[in-house]
Amino acid sequence: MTKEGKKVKESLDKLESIVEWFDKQEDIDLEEGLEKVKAGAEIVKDLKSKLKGIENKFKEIKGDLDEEENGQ
Amino acid sequence: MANTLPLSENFDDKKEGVIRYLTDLRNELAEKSGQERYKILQNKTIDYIADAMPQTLEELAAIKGIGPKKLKELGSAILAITTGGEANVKEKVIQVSESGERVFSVSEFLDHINDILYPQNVVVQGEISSVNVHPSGVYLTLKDKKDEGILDCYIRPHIYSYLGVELEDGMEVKIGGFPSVYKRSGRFRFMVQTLELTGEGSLKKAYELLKKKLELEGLFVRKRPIPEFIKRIGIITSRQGAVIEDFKNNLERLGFELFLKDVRVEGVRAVDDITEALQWFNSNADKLDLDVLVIMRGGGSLEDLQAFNNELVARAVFASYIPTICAIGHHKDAPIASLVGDEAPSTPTGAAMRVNQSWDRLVKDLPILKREMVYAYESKLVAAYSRIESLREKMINYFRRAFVKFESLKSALLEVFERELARVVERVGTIEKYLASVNPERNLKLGYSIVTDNSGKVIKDSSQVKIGEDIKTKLYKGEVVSKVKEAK
Repeated sequence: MTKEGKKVKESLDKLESIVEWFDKQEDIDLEEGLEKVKAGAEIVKDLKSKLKGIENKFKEIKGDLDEEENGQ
Repeated sequence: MANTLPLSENFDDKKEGVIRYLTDLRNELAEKSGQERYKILQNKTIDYIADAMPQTLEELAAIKGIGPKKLKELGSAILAITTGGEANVKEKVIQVSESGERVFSVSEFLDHINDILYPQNVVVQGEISSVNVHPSGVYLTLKDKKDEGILDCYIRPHIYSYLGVELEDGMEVKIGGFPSVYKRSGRFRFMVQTLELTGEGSLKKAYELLKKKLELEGLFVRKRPIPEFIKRIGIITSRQGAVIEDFKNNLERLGFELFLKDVRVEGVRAVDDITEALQWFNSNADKLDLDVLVIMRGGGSLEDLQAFNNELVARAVFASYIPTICAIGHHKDAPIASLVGDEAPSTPTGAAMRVNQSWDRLVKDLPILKREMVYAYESKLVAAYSRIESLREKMINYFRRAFVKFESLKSALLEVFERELARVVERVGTIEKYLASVNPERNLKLGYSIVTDNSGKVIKDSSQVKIGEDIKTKLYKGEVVSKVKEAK
């Protein structure tokens, strides 16, 4: 997976773990809860931006990468 | 390997010859060094060289695909091919014109004949009547279905190993190559450079043979998961045609980065192109940071799709360590490459959908997760409120009970107090009465008197006094002092 793919996966896992955290809490720590919600909201914002119609890039590969980089 | 060009005035033939020599040179070097062929020289680079016919190292260096490293390693060998031809032509022309009539040695004659035959690059179609696979090469006999013609053919081992097709008697094939006389036997044979199966029957047979072989080897079992959140995609297909457009148009706008290697998807060069592209992507996978490879081709007949039913292509797909999606259109039999691929949607649109799908967890789950998180926090908030509320109730109840208790205690206390008070009051009354009764003044008032002597001592007995002594009598009101006259 690319670095960005890993990042998305990590963020999504984190968000899931926040939801799980709420499910597991028996005692209520509203302050910690608020911190979690804030962190979660940041993740949601960040992940949403990844879904907002970013143009796809297209490149045709000609020859070798090295040679292209060397200007050949 | 001969590095001279055949005697020819025709430029296109010369170009063909150069391509063939360069290809042979490339293939032999690859075989010797054990490297992939495309790493030594790509087909495209060979085409560029044949187009440009460089005569000097500078000219060669200007050709796309020839970097400094290649120039150093292969420059002189390539120039020997591109320049050798002309020298050869001149030399031979001079030899013929000087001698007028030339006498050849057998070997020279055969060389001469072969030089003439070499440019006769043709495609011959026929049915295999016998096939003998030998370490020194493959010996084939082709015949026509109707006529009686027989053609002996020879396939060099390295060419055969790159065909990726199992040959059997009765198969119909199209072979490309050139005629030649084998010097050591003087026998005429056809040197096969390309081979394609033709006819539904042969193709189907080859398909079944290969399918069975690779199935036994377990090549169809390994299926790797296509990663989540695909970002960078290597694509192997033809730049032309609707396939690549279909794929691009059906991708959602998620910032995908596509890298296309343009390959031929049918014809004799397709196998080479596709295997080269697969190997190329794999050796550059880290640099490109690829998530997935997608091999695509529109639908077609078994004949059109034979590159995808080729053993070399199938093995290259299996060897790819990048997960590979094979989207090759087909009617009935799934192409072998698709069977080997990790996933095999049957259309480019399907492949695009599959790539989109890798983002499903984000696209579909994100709103749910967001809702769940907010809901979870809200419900905790509500729970906290109700808990506070119940604590408040408990506190109020506690104090309420305390007040009630206090009230009852207070009234009990008051009762005791009042009772005690009454008792005290009664007692005080009794005492008062008693005190009143014992008060000497009360007796004085009644007429009683108290007599004391000079020292103030109360006289209760007549013997206490002496005659002539003064005594004091206290009355209710006032005092009287008198002298004792007599005591009895």
